[in-house]
Amino acid sequence: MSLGVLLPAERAQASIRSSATPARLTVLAAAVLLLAGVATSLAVGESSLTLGQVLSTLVGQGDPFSRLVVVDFRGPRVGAAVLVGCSLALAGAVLQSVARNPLASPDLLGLNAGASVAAVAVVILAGGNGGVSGLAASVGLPVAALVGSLTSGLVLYLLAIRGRQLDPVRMVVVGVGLAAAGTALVSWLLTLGDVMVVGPALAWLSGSLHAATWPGQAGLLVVLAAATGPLVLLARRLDLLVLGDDTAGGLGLDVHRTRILFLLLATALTGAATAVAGAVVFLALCAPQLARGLSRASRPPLLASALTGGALLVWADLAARMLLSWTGFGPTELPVGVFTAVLGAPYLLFVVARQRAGSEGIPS
Amino acid sequence: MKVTDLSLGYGERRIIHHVDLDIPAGALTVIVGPNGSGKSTLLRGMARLLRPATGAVHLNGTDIADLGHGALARQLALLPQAPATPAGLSVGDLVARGRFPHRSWYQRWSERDEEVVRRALSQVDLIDRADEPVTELSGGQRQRAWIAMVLAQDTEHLLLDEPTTFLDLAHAVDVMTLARSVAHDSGRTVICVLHDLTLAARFADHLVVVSQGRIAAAGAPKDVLTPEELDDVFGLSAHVIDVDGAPAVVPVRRA
Amino acid sequence: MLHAPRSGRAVTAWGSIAALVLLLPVVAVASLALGANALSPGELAHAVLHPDGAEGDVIVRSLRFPRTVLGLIVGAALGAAGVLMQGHTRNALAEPGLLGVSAGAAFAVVLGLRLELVQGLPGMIGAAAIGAASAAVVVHTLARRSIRQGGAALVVAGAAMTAFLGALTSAVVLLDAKTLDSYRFWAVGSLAERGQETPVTVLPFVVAGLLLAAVNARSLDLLALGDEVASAMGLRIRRARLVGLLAVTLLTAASVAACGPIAFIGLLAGTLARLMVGASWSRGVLAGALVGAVLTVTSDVVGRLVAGPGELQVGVVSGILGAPLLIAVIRRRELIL
Ligand SMILES: Nc1ncnc2c1ncn2[C@@H]1O[C@H](COP(=O)(O)OP(=O)(O)O)[C@@H](O)[C@H]1O
Ligand SMILES: [Mg+2]
Repeated sequence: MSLGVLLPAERAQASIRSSATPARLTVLAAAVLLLAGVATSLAVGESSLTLGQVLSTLVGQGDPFSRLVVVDFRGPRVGAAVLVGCSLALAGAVLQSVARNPLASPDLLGLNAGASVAAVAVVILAGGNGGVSGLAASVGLPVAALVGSLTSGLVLYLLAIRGRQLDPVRMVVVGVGLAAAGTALVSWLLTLGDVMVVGPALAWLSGSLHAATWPGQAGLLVVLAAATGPLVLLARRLDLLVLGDDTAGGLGLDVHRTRILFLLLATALTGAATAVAGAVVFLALCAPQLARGLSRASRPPLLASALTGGALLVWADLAARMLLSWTGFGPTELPVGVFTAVLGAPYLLFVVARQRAGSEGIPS
Repeated sequence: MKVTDLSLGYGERRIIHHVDLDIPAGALTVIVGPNGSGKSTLLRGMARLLRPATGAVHLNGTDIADLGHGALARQLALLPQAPATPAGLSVGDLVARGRFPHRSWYQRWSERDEEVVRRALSQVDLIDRADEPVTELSGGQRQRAWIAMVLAQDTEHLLLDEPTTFLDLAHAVDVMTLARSVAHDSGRTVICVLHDLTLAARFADHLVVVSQGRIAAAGAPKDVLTPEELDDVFGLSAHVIDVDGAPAVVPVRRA
Repeated sequence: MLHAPRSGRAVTAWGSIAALVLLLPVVAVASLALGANALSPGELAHAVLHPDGAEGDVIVRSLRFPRTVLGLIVGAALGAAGVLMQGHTRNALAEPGLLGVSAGAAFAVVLGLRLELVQGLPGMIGAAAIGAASAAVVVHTLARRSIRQGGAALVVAGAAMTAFLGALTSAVVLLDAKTLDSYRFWAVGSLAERGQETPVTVLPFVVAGLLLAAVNARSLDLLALGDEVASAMGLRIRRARLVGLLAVTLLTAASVAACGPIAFIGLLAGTLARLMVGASWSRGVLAGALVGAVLTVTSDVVGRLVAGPGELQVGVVSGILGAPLLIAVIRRRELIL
């Protein structure tokens, strides 16, 4: 962005492309927020630690008690919040660019629903009293969620493409339909189980980091790491996809294959994140748009979106964990997904209400 | 550019049937035809966005089916009909995207890229508005920004699908003057779909009439645009008069 | 855009409606006779004509009869509501479930029960009505601009509303195991074990809603030409919208309070009704109510037959039947009416 009026000589110096400064500032701000959120989350809880204790534990010193609290109690949860937040936001950023629609996100497109149906099926059908455990939990759940989201991704793709062209509006409408069908299936699954199983299942469905463990998020870490490479290499192609299929094709992009690759990446990220935290809704929608607005970019920037998503989820989970006890409702806690939904849905409604008719990518 | 026996369609539905075309190099070719006659489809086939059911398109003797994606995009640029403009994209950034086929993923933005983009922006007279979002330009300026994007692609062949839709006559004339000068001054091959017959006849070196997925006529505008041809293809009864050596179409007024 | 009226359209329309009317007693009898314990025609006649407390009599009189009647009432309500919503929003995907109206009713009911503000079915219907109307007004207001051009914003706003209210509902039930246990059976949408008096309690609300819908359908025929044309023809647009809202609210609230949210019946009924009767909304509402009743009872019977000795709830069956139709609608037809 140019600051005020530039003299002709300066004009010639500056690049014709817009400046990267807002984008860099956004990355910086999101990273700071993320780190602050991680430190605070590790420190705050039933037994509070000082920031100093947290930091010295993180660098490998610290007393055994703070190590227990930081590494074993709060660590898994905070780690999961960061990983899930980054993954979902990345998935959202990719989907919004591919679908050329700011409303595209794994939850609205029904990818979450597929993962939820599969995972709830595992919990209800394989779970004993109090939820799944053992192999079913550590392998079955993530794999089921991954398969479920890949399946709905496939269905979505087949239905939203017509004559090898992707219609941004159609994609969102198909997704809403898939999500609704998934919800019907999940409601049914919930009636099959014992109420002791259904409670945790419903909490998980609402998006909860309560039960996060270090081993439980290993799969997500692997998927996130594996997706980062291709995303970094191919990010520039997203700049073309947002211009529409024909333009991108004319600029030498293999639109069909590129899009499938991106959809696969987004779907895998969603499935892996859902396996860890359940349906954390709206995060994947809001974080990329927030990052895009702050960066003044024409599509959600990947790194800034990921960091924003991580930061948002860490803070939201802290609120979910502490709010009821701070407000005197006792030690119960709400699933973080309830939080993100209560904050995110009004934002989505606001986006819908504010839309200027006719501008591309926005259903009008 | 040479099109031989080209057939195209969407799924089972065939739109273009066995088309043969010779596009003169270094000249402006204009394609006209009724709505839905398959002009855009033909253009998309020529840009390999659709796979041919039969036949082939050759660029300088090479079948475009044998070219890689990048290689084709460095030889041929396409401006689609009604392209999608993302909100918030600046004019400079849009035009810069035309450089995509010239950069591999590891290459940074170069002096040469910057220079080509600047030249394209000057050509369409938008160099002073590079910082503005495309969505805030007027219709005519927006169309010119998109044309600059394909100019920045720096290709020998340029395909423009209805670049004058939504433009008033003065702006349409500007765009066509630009297309013609790109062809004549830098020896590029420009192919342009238009629906205004008189405008087409005024600017085209070579005029192609498409009707129901076939070529109804092709040649110099004054040979192609005849009252008989208009009646035949468009079902239009019109006078064709000569103005400054180019035919102009004036519809017959029925009582 | 409107489908062009075709010749003979009205004849086929009334033919379809007559066929639906004939179909009603067929599915009703099937619903009385079929289930985990299938009855012969003789046993059924015995139960209906001279009940004397035999096993078949008890099954029919105290279990299957109430749920059949409830299915007919609720199905008609949802079908008519679906048609009305499609007419008002000009969106082929509008229906109580997808646009967040059912979610509003469900949240209000759950909240009312949790806070012990409501008791019994009439109270639940009241709470559901408040919730349904609020959700409908919010979604409609926010996506109003998109309605005029027709499009997906409405569906997205509905999805957002559903997610929002669903999250709030989860929060309420998660904090209380007892509410959770009754909630999950109610939330899936079922006609079973709703009690003898439930049909009687919801009937007046549904009848009132259907009457309003019938009145409103004639306004819809004008509104379909666009607000400007409609008001130039003397229609009071605000009032027509308000009556429509009231009708949809009554119909949705009564059915959600009685059976929980049953997905897709409104969508299926709306789509099939328009296929049968074309662009006339007056006939559409009638056909929609009939289709809704037939579909709901049929789904219920299917759920009893395929999953015996247990059963699939009607909401699950309609969801499974409805999802492919939804997709077909998206694939084939114009979404803008
Ligand atoms: N993406 C598509 N999928 C299916 N059919 C299409 C598609 N695009 C165009 N058509 C059909 O192909 C025919 C020719 O369209 P088009 O080439 O756009 O015509 P023109 O540009 O001459 O107006 C039309 O009947 C149109 O319906
Ligand atoms: Mg065209």
